[in-house]
This record gives sequence, C-alpha cells and structure tokens, in this order.
Amino acid sequence: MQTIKLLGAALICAWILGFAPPVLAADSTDLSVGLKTLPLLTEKMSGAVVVAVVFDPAKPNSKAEAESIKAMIDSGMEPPGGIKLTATLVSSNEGHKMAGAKIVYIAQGSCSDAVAATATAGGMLTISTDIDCVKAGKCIIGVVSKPNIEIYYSKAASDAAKIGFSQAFSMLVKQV
Amino acid sequence: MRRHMKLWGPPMRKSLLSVSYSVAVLAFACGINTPAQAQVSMDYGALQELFGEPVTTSATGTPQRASEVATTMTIITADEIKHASSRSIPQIIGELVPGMDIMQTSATAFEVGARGYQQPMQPRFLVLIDGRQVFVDDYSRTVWDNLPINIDDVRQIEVVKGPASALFGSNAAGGVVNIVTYSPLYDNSNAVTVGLGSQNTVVGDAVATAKLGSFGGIKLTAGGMNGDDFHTSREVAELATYTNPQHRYITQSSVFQLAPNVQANTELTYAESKGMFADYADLVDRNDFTTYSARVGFGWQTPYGQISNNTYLNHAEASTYTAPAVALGGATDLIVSSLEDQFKLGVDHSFRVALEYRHKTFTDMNGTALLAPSAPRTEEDVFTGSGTWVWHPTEPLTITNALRLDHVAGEQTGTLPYDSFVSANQYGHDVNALSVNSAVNYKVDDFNALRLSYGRGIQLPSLVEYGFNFAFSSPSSIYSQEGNPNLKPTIVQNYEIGYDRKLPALDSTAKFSVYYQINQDIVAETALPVAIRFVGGPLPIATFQEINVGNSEGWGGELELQGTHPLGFRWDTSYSYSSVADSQTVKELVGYDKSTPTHHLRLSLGYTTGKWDFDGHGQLVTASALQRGSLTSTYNIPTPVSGYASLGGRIGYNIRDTMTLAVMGTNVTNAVTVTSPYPAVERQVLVSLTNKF
Repeated sequence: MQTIKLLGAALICAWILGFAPPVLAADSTDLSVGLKTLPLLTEKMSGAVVVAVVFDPAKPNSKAEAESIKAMIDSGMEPPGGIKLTATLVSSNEGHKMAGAKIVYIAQGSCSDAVAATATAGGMLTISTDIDCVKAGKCIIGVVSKPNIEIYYSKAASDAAKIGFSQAFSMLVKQV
Repeated sequence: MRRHMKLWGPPMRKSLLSVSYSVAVLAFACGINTPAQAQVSMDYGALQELFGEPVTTSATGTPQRASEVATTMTIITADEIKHASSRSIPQIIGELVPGMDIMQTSATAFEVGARGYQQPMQPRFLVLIDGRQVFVDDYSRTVWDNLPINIDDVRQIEVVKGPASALFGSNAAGGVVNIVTYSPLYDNSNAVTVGLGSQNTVVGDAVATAKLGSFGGIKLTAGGMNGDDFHTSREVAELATYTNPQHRYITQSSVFQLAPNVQANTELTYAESKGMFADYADLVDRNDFTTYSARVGFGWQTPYGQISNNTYLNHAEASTYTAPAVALGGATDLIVSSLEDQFKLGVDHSFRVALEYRHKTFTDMNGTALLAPSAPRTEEDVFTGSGTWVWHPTEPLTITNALRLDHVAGEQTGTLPYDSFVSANQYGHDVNALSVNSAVNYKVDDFNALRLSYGRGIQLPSLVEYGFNFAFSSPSSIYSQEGNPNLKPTIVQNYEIGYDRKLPALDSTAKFSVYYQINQDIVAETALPVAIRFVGGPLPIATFQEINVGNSEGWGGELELQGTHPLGFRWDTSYSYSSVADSQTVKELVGYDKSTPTHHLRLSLGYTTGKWDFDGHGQLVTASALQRGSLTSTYNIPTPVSGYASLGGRIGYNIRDTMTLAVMGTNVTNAVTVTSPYPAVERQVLVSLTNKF
C-alpha cells in the first residue's frame, strides 16, 4: 500500500511539474489505420516501401512519437498488400533526407510548409494524427482511431502530390 | 396479387415473365470534385478493414459506413453468416435481422418480408445479387431456392427495411435485400463445401478465383443440392404434385482494370431448381424454375465524375404443376441498362444522378393448352430518372435526399382468349410514379446517433396483375382471370425515428427504431366476378380481376442489442413490435392485420474457444392468421397459427485455419414446428465440411 501511495504521489508531482510521461499522439492503432488506406490508392504500392517519419527535434514529444512509430514499423507492422515497410527518422529541418520515401509520417508538432513541399514534390503520401495539418492542406491523410475511426482527407494536398484514391474512399472520408 | 376468400369459381394458377432495358447519365461542369480512378467494383474488403465496420451502397447509392447509413439497415457479415445455423439465406436473415418475417413453405421455399404484410410470392421486398435484380417481375416475387449463389462466396447481406424505391425502383416498397459477393478483382474467394443432412440432403458448393495479374480477375461458382421435402401433413390433392427439392447453379463473373481510370465487368449465371412452394392462390404445389442472366458494365473516371454503366438481361421460366401432368407456366424477361454519375461538389456535397431504361416481358407459355388460341404477352417499358444528394452542412449532421421518377408504358400483344372482358386495345397503360427517400442523421457525439427518415415507395402492379389472361372451364361455367390495366401502384409511405447508442462498457451497440407506415391502394383480387357474361356459348363466363381495394396502416418498432467480447463471446438480441390496421375491404379480402405477428423476440448467443465455435439462435413469434387455399374448396380461408418458439444452432470445429467441420440445424428442439398455414416445418440438420484455399 505504501508503495502505491508513493507511486501515486510521484505521478501527481511529475504531472504538476511537467515531467509526466509523454502522451504519444499516435499509437499502433493510428498507424495501422493509416496504413490501411494504401490498398485504396489508385497507384498501388508494392514491395519495399520506405516510410520517412518526420519529427521536430525541438519538441521532445514529437521526437518521442516519431521514435515510437519507427519502432512499430521496425517490429514488423505490415500494411495489407504484401508491402514491406522500413522506417527512417527525419528531422523536420532536414527535409532532403525524405528522398526515396513513398510515405511520410508527420509526427505531432512537425507539420510545416517545408515538409509539405518536399513531400508534395516527391509524390509522397503524407499521414498524420495532426488533423490541423490536414486541414491546412499540408498533409493528405489524417487519422483518428479512438473512440471511432475517422479519416480526414485533403484533396488539395492529394492533388498536388498527384496521389489518387478510389471513388468510394473519397465519399467515405471527411474531406477538408 | 393478394389472396382472399374466393366466393366464386375454382382456384387458379398462372405463369409469368418480364424484360427490361435502359440507359443514360449525366455529367456536370464546373467545380466537380472527383477522384482519379474509376471503380466499377468497390473494394468492400479494404474499406471494411480501414473503417472497422462494413460499408454499403444500398442506402443511398453512394458508399456509406454501416454506422452512418440513412436508413434502417442491417448488414450481415461473412463472419456472422459462418456462425448461422443454416446455409439458407432466408433463414440467416430471419436469425440475424430484427423485424423480419420469414415464412418457410417447404424444405427449401421461403418468403421474406419485414414488418408485416407477409404473403406467398412476397412482392414488397426487392432482392438483388451484386446490384442485379433477382426478383422476378411476373408475379413480383423472389424464388429464393433458385438463386445462383454460393453462400461461401457472400461477403455480406444488406437488408434495408422500409421503402427504398428512390434508389432501387418499384417493388422496393417494403425493403431490399442486396447480397454482395466477393470481388474477382480484389478478393481471393476459393472454397469447397460438401454436406449431408436430414431430409436426405446432399449439398455441394465450390468457388474459385483466378487472378490475371493487375489486369483483373475471374471467378467461377457452381453447386447445388438434393434432398427430400417435408412429409408433414397437407391436403391429399396437394400431395399429387409432391416433389423433392433440387437446385443447380453455375456463375462466372469477372472484373478487368482496362486502364487506370477504366474498369469493366462481366457476369453470366444459370440456375435451375424444383421444389414445393406456396403459389399465388395460397396452395402448395410443385415449382420448376430455370433462370439465366448476362451482364456487362463499366466504370470510367472522368473530369465530370465517375460514370458507370450496368446492363443486364434476366430470363426466367416457370412451370407450376397444379396436377402431375398439368404444368402452367410462363417466361419472364428483363433487360436493364443504367448509366449513372457519382461526384462531389466541394467537400460537403455528394451527388448521384442516373438514367435507366428497362423492358419487361411476360409471356404465357401454356396459353394454347388452355382456352387461349395464342399466348398473350404483357410488355412494359420503364424510363427512369433518379438522383441522390448527400449534404454535410456541419460535422455531425448529414442530410440525404433521393428522388426517382418512373414512367411506365405498358401494352398487351398476342391474341386474347375468346371475347375478353378487357379488349386488347384497352391494355395500354401509362403510369408516372415518384419515389422519395429523405433522412437527417445527427451524430450527437461519439456514442449516440439519431436518424429521422421518410420514404415514399412504389409497388407497381406485377405483369400478371396488369395483363395476364387465363381461363378455366368447369362444368357449370368458365372462370376467367383477366389483367387490369387500370390498376394504380401501391404507395408505401414510411416515417421513422432511429437511435443508435454505443455501449463500450458492455462491448455492445443498442439500436432503437419506431416507424409508422401507410399503404395506399393495395391490390387484391375481387371476391365476386366483375362481370358474368354469355359470349356465344352455353356457359357463362365469370371474370375476375385484381383491383385497388383500399389502404392499410402499420406501426411498430425494434430494439436490438448486439455485441462481442474479446474473450470470444458474441450476442445479438432484439424485440420487434408490429401492428397493422386495414381498411374494411382490405381486411375482408386480404387481412394483413391478422397475418402480422405482433411480437417477435430473437436471441443469438455465440462463443469461440480455441478451434471450437458454439452458436445458438432462438426465436419467439406470436400468433397470426394467413389465408390458405384449398383444392377441395373454392374458398381461401384465414388460417390461424399459434405462436411458436424455434431454436437453431451450430457447432463448428476448425480442423485447421482453412478447414471447418460444422453441424448446424434449425428448429432442432422439435421434430415438427407449425410456423404458418403451410406444411409444418421439420427439424433440418446439416453436417458440412468446408475447405478454403
């Protein structure tokens, strides 16, 4: 009992002091849902696919989320369609390192014009749990997995990157 | 064609048929927001995986998630089908959908209705397979034991309760069943099932899919069954045509990706069946039925939206044996061609616009065997324009409006029998019918959703009711059944409130709906002849017709609780209440008020542990009274049926991931259960072995 009280007090203190464990913006369900959009692309991906996981190095939570995403992919998470994913962490101020990626995962706090421009120019599919990023037209797919699955879709960003989805997909998602 | 007490003349039989054909579509100009690829075949599997729930197009014509549909709908998934206590689609629907009325009239014959108004040759429920109508336009009915479908190849069964005519056209007045099979392009549907069961039943079904790289896929299905019909009591005269059920079918379907923005599909089907069934005169006799169909279509993504075409031909031949050597029958042809465009305007507006043409023909194949010197032929051309508008004015609010206008032009060709009461030149009929479906869906929060809906459905008189002519000579008179070109469509209006609540603490979803329904201009056969004439012979000719006899109102509601638990438990229970009030003439001639059971309780429980599946399905249905014909009487008599309880179930053992041995059965607690005025149903058990590869 004493231990529990001590742990509780420590958690409360940590929360008050801002040292609470970071709450990751995305979990495996978010990533899994995002990857399930891949079969609905008009130009299907196949084989080995590199995922650039972009984060803002100035924001610990952003980096933590990116590392978590990379770990999930490295642990063998596979999207439908026999695609083999590999992940690479990319700092948002080193956008050129996104080259070669087909998918860009934008971690919380790393949404920027520069990242969007690089992804668009490279025809990359951008995915994030940052819905504001999608609403700003800087990311194509926004994922909310709890309590209900919702997909936000920026057609402007999709068109700019020349990435198309099936008709049914566009009618089922929340287009912004 | 609704039955009633025949006060004069012998009971009669008929034959049937239809044809149709259609075309059209639109494109819109500026600001149209379209995706880059056409899909004539929607990837149901990928969308279900993404959203964690089934998707459907059966509510509005546009894709919707099951939790957001604009109508009262149940989607039975492949997993639920697997755990049902039967491989028969009507029995699966009856076990899993609240508010459904399933009437079994032989070992393999069923009538599927909803919220009352049950009757043989149920005309109010439109049935489709992958969007192709399998409902037959002769009498307006579905011959369930003839469907060319392999249950192992069914992805989902979509059941819409209430009028859905604005999307599907006439005869979706009471609801729609759309059976969706696996796509040859997106899915790998490969399975073989063999089964042995009670009533000496032998079942065999197979489906195989061949992929053509990224170019497309081809799917073949084939199968059938043999068995014995029930031996439960019926009139001696009805035993004269007793036959055992038999079914054979083969289908081919394919989808091709011709270009990144163009898909094309083809489909061929053939099915033949025989068995006992309840005919339009409320008698049980033998029905031999053969159908085939051919379909082509395309989907093409253009700057003006996704344009798609669906063109098909259905042919059906029916032989109904009223005596061992007397087969009456007919041929029905239907040609349908539709062209539709789906597009978005901005981010909040989705549209579907469509034009359709259909041509229906019913030819009496046995006219020369009767008094008719040549077979009369009833034809209809139907020209249709329809559209759907889905508007999301705010995040939680969705407003759906769908309209459909049908123009029907009918005529009679061929030679009418003798000096008909209705002359050939009077058979031309023109009908304009408007169908409407509107709904407001309000998502209160992540757990609560409200739905208000209105539907105005059209039930066009069948080809038989419009134009069939039949005469039967007795020693004292000539009984003449003639079509009535002046029949008005039956209009069904439905007002409904639905409320869905997710209950995460119970791993469940609760659904509640109440409805009020008005049926105007119900069609039924006259009790007395509309005319008694002498036309050059010694015997009087008594002419009967179908007429519009009045209205009926119904109201009721359904409450359902459905859920699953990660430990392997699943449950689905519902209570349905239905009340029908007929106008006086409808009450006298048809009696829908008494034919509708007031209370209906369902309970399904399942549990999966390791390689074992255990499922039970129970139902309690209160008393009703349906009309029943008699070969020894000129009267069709309302026959009361006591309430009954039935229990079905399934035990499955997954020998390996791809192979399942199952024992399933319906009405297992009693050797015989009386569920309708037709022959009581026997316990039906099947042992099946399914291998998927």
